[in-house]
Amino acid sequence: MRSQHLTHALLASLLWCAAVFAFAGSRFVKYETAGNALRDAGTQIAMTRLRDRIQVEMDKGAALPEIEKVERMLIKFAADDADVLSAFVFDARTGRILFGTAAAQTGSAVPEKWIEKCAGSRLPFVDPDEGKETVGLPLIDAFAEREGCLAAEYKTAPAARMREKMISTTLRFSVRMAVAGVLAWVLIFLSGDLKGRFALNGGAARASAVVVGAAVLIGCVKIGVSALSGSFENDLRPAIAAKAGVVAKNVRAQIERAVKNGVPFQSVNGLESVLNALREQNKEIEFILVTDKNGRVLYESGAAAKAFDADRRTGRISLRDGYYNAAESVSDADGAAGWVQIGVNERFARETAF
Amino acid sequence: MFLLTPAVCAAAPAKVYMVLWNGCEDACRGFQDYLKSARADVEIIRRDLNRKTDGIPALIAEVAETSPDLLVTWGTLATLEMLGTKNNGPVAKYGAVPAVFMVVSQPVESGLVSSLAAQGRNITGVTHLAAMSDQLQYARRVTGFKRLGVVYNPAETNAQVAVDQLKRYAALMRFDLVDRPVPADADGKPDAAAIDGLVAELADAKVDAVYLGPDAFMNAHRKTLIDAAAAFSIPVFSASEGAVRHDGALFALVHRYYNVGRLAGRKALKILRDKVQAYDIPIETPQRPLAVVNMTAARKTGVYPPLDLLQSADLVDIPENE
Repeated sequence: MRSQHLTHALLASLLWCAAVFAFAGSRFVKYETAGNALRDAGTQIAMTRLRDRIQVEMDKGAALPEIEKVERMLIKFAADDADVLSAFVFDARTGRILFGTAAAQTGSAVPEKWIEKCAGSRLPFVDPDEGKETVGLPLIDAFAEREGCLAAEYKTAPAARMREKMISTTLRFSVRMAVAGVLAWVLIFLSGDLKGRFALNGGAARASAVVVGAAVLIGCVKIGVSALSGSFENDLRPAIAAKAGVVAKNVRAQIERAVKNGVPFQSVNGLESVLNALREQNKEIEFILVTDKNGRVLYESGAAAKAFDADRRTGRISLRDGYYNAAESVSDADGAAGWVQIGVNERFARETAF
Repeated sequence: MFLLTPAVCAAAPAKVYMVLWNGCEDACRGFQDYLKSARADVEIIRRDLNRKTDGIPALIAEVAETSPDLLVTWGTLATLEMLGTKNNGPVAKYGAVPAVFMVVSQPVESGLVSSLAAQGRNITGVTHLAAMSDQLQYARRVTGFKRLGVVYNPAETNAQVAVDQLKRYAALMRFDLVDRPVPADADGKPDAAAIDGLVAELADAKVDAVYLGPDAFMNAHRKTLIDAAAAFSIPVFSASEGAVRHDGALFALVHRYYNVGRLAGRKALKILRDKVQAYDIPIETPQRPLAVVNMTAARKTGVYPPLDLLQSADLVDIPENE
């Protein structure tokens, strides 16, 4: 009888461990995918904006090799993102680098495969390499012909670090849950022997042991799953911060261009539509606010109130747990004019994960 | 002469005879740059009319005599003079010389070809006006107009064609069109002195914006029109960018001549290098227009384009900070 209980307990433990590892693995995939999607979206937002700016210069009526300000744009683009190793524009036909940051070796030719990839689709191409990946976007002229390609080399170390952290989180969770589960099953197994040793009513003793074991298991699952999500969200934080920064810089750049060219900061027509579109495309963003330098909200998209807690005694407002806030200052000719505030729901992946 | 490549011709360079209206400006430069960047082996013979048509017969004779591989023309007037209309013209003298035109606003309405896709002649080319529907949609996003005004010279084909288009789009896009033709003076010529009064009539009719179309007379007097509209704080949008850059119209949706020339260069290359017949190459406009926005006019009228449109626009006449 005892060996039969032992066999059942062993089987249950094995099944439990398999279930734990499978669950943790599936969460790992989900969160890693979310992290990569954040990075890719951030890259795409930044590169698309730069591509559009270059194409406007082409539309103004100049051959791509003659647009010297492209070099300044590339330098600023690389300076704005610590993960960019180099940025450059190459000729779509010859592959010769026309403009680039210092690290881009202007005048040299890019690999043949990039010319082919750039000629293929209008979507970005990605070419992974050791320690870096190159992302490229075709530059299309006013009559839909590819004149060149915008490319940037990105460090892959941040993504690798995020992955390592997530693997470690997954293993830690799985081992802890496996141990807790095995203990619970042992407790349930032991309940089979209680009757003889303590001369108790067999049914009652066994039932209470099963209840305790099940409670331990349920408790473990509940706490463990919540802790796992929290740990993954911690691991995601650098990617969330990086992307929120890209979006904030994008909004800032658009406003500054308008203001620099004579649009009053207080009446930027269509700004809220731009903010709404950004939030629509980036589901993790809970709100975007544009304030003046005193913090007065001028433009708003999303429900910012949800992200803040007010202290009942002091009235002081603070960001709730689970929210991340990125801020970029907006300048006009007189200096600081206001702020762009991006609020990200750090639990966005959790909310779509179940 | 540009670089020699076997792809175009192994022997003599292709001869391109180019007739220009007023020197080699942006479209001409774009045409040449395109052929240069494609390493086409061509010899370009440029002839400049200096804004006069009296040199045309000599050019026609020269084309007939030299039989170039391609004839390229700039502008409606030079093109019609060199190529004639589809029913009548000097082309018969040239034999099989194909032609590419550029900077012609209404090739069908002016009688040059039967249609943009089936020209009915061995001619292709590039038009330069942004589609009326694009201009109106852009204007609607900028000004939100519900009632549009236009002052035009009814004696001009281009102007009348534009007004007819506006009438069609008024029904489709559900806006009211208030059109005011410029009356003729005692000599039968359009009377510029009437423009102020016509704009006042548009203001009385409570138009939200005024359109300055492809109208040579109105463009010659565009400053009068724009200033008169500004007195009523009515924004003016134009089919050509000169009115925005130099005379204070709010915006224009245009195709830059340089890009028009480059597209003409691509068509020329198809004829010379790929041996495609001109009549098999449709007449086109560059696909992506550029908005030119006058920011001083925006400040004066208080009409600022939406932020997303500003990002892709060429912003000119930037006001000084107050």
